[in-house]
Amino acid sequence: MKSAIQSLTKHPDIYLGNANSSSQQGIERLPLGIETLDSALAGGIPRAGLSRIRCGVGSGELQLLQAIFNPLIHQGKKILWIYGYYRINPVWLARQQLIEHSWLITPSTSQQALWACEQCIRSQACSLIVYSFDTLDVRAARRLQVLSKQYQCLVLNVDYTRHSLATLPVNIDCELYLQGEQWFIDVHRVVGSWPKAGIRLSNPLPASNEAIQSAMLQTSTLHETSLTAS
Amino acid sequence: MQWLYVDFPFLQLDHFIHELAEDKHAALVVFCPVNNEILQVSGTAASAGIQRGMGLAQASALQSSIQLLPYSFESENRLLTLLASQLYQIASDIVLLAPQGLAIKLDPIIHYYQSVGNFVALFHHTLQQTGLRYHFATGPTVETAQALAKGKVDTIYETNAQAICALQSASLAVTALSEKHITQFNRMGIRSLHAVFQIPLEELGKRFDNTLISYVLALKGNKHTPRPVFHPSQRFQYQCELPFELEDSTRLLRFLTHPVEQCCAFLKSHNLTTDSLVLMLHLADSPQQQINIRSGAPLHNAQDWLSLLSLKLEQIELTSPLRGFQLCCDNTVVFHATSDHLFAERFSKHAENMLMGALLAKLGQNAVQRPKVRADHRADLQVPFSKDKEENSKAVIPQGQQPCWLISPPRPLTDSTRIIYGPERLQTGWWDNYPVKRDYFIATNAKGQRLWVFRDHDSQWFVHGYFS
Repeated sequence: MKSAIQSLTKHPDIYLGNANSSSQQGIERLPLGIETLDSALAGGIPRAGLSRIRCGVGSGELQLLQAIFNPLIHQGKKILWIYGYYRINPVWLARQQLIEHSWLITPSTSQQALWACEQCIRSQACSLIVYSFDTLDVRAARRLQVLSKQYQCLVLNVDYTRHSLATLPVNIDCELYLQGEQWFIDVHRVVGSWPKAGIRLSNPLPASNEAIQSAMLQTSTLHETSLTAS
Repeated sequence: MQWLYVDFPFLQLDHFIHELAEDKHAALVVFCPVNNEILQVSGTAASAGIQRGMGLAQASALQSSIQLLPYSFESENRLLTLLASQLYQIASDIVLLAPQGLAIKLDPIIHYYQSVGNFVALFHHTLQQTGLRYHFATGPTVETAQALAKGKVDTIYETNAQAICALQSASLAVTALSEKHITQFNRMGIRSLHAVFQIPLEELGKRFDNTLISYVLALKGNKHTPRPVFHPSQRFQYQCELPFELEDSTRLLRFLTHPVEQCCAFLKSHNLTTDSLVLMLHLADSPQQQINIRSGAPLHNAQDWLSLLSLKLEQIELTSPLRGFQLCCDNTVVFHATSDHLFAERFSKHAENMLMGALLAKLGQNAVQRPKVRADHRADLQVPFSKDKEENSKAVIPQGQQPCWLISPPRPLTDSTRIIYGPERLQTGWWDNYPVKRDYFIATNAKGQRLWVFRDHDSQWFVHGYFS
C-alpha cells in the first residue's frame, strides 16, 4: 500500500502542497525578470510543458514574456508561431532578434493547428511554440502537455478569447488584465506553488509622448514666469 | 526504383536575374554566339515576342533594348553543382545530368521522410528559395523521369506504371534522341513514344544502333543505366562573371554576400571552419589579382567574413576594371566544439528538414513560411510570405514604432481610445502603385489594449495592429 502511494505521489501531474521545494527541484524554469511574478510562479515558467496566458490582444503580453525568448533561441532550435487571428509583423520579429529563429504557421482549422503543434513538438526541432490559434479544450491541452514534457519543448498558449474558464492541465495558467490604471496578473494555476491573484504589474507602454508633454509643460511654465516677472 | 528528375531550362538566366541583375524586369536573353541562337528568354523578353531559337537580328527587331548574356556551358555546370550541394542537405542520391538537369533517387528518401509527399514539399520549398524556374517528374528510371520533365508534366506519379503510361503520349522531341534518330523515326511515320514502344526490339535493332535500343529500354523502365552519384566537393569554390565592369572595389561586396553565405553554409554542413578566404579578381586589362583575407581565429559565420571582406575591399585599388571574381576556401580545419552545441544544431537541422517537409505537405506552401523583412516602411507590404530574395540580414529594418500583430486590411477605428504616442508621419510609395500618406499613433482603449492606429489623408481613422 505504501509503495503504491509512493508511486502515485511520484507522478509528475500530482503536486503535494507541503513538498514544493523537494518535489519540484528538477523542473527547469525560465524567469521573467519580474520579481513578484517570478516569486508567484515558483521561479518562472517551466522549461518544458504547456503554459497558458489569457489576455486581450495588445495587452503587452509578449513584452512580458520577452525574457524567456533569449535563453530559448540560444539553443539553436526554432520558435514556431501558430496563429490565425492577425498577421505577424516581420519587422517586430526582426527587432526582437527572433526573425532568424522563427517559422510562421497559419493553419486553416483547429485540427490542422493542433496537428502542426504536435508535429513541431515531436520533431525536437523547436524549443518554443507560441500557440495563439484558438482556445484549447481539455483534451487537446492534455495531449500537448504530455507531449511537450516528453520532448522537452515549451508550448505557450496565448489565449486572446478569454472566454474559456475551463481548468486545463497546464503548468501555468495566468490572466493579464487592467483594472483602473493598474495592470494585474492572476495566477490561476502553477506547478510547484499555490495560485495567487491580483499581482500588481508594471506593464510599460511601447512608447509615449510624456517626454514631449513634460518638456512643453516646462516651456510654458517658464514662459508664464518670465511674463509675470516682466 | 523511383527517380525524380528536375529540369532547369533557364538555369543561367534565372540565376543571373536572381543574384546579379540590377533591373530584374529587363528584357534579358541568353545567347549562343556560335550558332547565333537565343537559348533562354526572360519574362519581359518573352512578352515582347522573343522566342527560343530566334537569331539575334530577329530578337533585336522585336525589342531594341535587349540585354544579352553569352551562353556558358561551364557556368551552367558550376551552377548545377552548387544547386546539387544545396539539395544534398535534404537528399542523398543525386545524379547530375549537365548542364540543366539533375535526378534524385527517391527510394531511400521515403524511409527518411516517411512519404514522398513530405520530401517533395520540402524539395519545392528549397528550390523556390533559389528563384529558378524548373520542371519535374518521377519515373522508374532517370530517362523516363527526364523525358516527362522535359515534357513539363510537373507531376509526382504514385506508381511507375502511371509514369510509363503518361510517357506514351509524349512526343519524340522531349526525349534525349538525336535529331538524326528523330528524323529517321519521322520517316517511318513514328511521331510519339507510344509508337516507338510498339516496335519489337528486333526490328529496332535492324535500323538503329545499340545505344538507341538501350535508351528505349531505359525509357520503358526495363533497364537502369549506371550513373555516378554526386558527392559534394571537399573545398568550396564559387566563380562569378559580373553583369558590368566595376571600377570601385567596394561595390563588389554586394556580389560577394551570397557566395560568402554559401561558403559558410558549406563549412557548417561539413563541420569545418576556416581562417582564410582567397578572392581572385578577374580584371579587364591586367592579370588576375589574388587577395587573401585572413582572420585571427577560424570563423564560420557569414557576417564575420563579410565584415572582414568589407574592410579588405576598402584598401584595394583596382588597376583595371573588374569583370568577375572567384572565391575559394581551401584552408579548412575541423571544428572542435567546446560544447555539444554544434552537434545539437546539426541534429536540429535534420529534424528541421523533416518537420518542414511534413508541415509543407500537410498545410501547403502558403501556410508555412520563414519570415522575411522588406526594406519598406509600409507595414501593409510586410508580407511574411514574401518570396523575394531579400534576406533578413541584408534588409534594412524600417524605423518607427511597429507592433507585433497586424490587421490586414486595416479596419475602421470604432472604439473610444486615448492617444499616448504620435504622430509618426508616413508618406511614401509615390513611385509605385501603392502611395501612402498616414499619421500613425499608439492609442489605448478602456481595456488597456495598445492599438496602432492611423489617420489617412481623408482624416478617417483605422486600426492597423496591436502592440502585444
